[in-house]
Amino acid sequence: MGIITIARQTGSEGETVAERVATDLGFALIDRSRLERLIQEHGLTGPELDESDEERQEPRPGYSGAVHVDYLQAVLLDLAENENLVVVGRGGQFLFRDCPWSLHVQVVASLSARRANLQRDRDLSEVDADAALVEADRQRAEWIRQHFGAEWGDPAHYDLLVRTDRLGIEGAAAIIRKAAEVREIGGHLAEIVTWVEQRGGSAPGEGLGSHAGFVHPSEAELARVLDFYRIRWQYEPKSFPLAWDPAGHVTEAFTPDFYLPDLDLYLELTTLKQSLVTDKNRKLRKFRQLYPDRRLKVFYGRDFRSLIQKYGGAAPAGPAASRTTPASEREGRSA
Amino acid sequence: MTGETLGAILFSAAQIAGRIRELGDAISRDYAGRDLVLAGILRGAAFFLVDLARALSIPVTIDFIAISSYGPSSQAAGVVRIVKDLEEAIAGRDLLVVEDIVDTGLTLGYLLRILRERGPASLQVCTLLDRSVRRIVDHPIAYRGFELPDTFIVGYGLDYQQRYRNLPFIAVLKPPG
Repeated sequence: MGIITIARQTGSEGETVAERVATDLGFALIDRSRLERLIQEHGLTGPELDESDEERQEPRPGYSGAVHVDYLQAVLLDLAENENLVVVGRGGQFLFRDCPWSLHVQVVASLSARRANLQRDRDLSEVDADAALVEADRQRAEWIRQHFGAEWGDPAHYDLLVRTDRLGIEGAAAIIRKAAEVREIGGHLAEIVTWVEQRGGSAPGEGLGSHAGFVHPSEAELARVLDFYRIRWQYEPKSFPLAWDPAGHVTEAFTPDFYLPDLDLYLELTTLKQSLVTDKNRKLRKFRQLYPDRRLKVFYGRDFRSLIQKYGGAAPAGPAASRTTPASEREGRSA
Repeated sequence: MTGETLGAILFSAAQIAGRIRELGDAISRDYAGRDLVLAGILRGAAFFLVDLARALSIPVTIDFIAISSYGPSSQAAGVVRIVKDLEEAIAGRDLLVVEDIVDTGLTLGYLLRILRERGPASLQVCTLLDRSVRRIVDHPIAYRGFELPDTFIVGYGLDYQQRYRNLPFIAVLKPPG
């Protein structure tokens, strides 16, 4: 379905415009309160929500908001698969930048209008309102810079700019409706589902994302486990040459199954027959000799099966399925 | 009618108690004069935390946290989340996360990320059991009870389908059949 993102200056009444557009078009309004409800349903608590929010003040020392921003994005993408959205703030213009069925709007107003709005809404003196405007805009810009590496105010990020103190709420909303109509963003549910699935790289892709294209079911299962724990992964992103012919052509290479960029770690699942494991072990030894700085963990058939069983998944049957652990083993927690 | 059976006892009640006394002594020494908070991970670590706290000779605050676990019933878009949060504010305090077992390190990795953001003065891990053969995500473990082989075990907090947690010892569980 279609997505309208609304970036707004503090005090520009962008929220009211967004609400109006959502009501008129029958789109779901995704603002702070809706997101709070959604995220709390998923179990994130107050402080964590604040970390993922653009209006949070200074990040605490040592804090990287990446986990929660990833999560926020996953929630937004999930919603986009089901509904037409009007997304207020939260970097929506970057998250849906490449989505063909989106419209990116920036809502602004003159300083005097923003000051007056803020004084009215928050009962502030003129001086306090000015200070609050500067500070809130600085924080939002900083949040966008930190998480999307972009400048909030750059006009290149927007399809449309509306100024509420000249157009009024009604006028601004009408122009946005018209633009949505011209861009024909509505009614593309199936395309957006595909777009969300393909997002995050070429197939089979990266997590958190699509799980298509795995060679072995155990790989898909591991990807799901990593997604569950919000650990980013890439599937077979790199091949390492192991042998060359005299002309310098690569004659043998090793491609680990997964790379976990945040841990700088490669994972290899070996769910092969014993006869093939020997060859794999030879390759692994060679890899460790040639690339001693690359961190690689190998899970052999049985290890991996018990790992997956621990998490309650169906253990992939394999030729070496000599069972040492109960099939439905589940611990209440602990990893 | 599960059909599984208990196998050999890996760690007896006396062995566990002895090791916890040693851990308690080490922690009491290291945290003397500090504001120690023990945070047990529910449900498995409940038994260990309670015994460990009683082995400490220094003042201590205890608390618990629970997070969701991965399973077949997890929604497609499911992600790990806090099911029960700490009651204590931990900013500026010395937090010791108490685990029954660390194996892949995935759960612990998530928890440490969350807890670190709350700004404790220090953040360390104490686990009764360490099954490092399964480790994916490495974490420094300050206090470790026993290293564990890659076998399935129950007792002293560890369960199979929510049973066996109340065994006073830790034993191997044999699969059905």
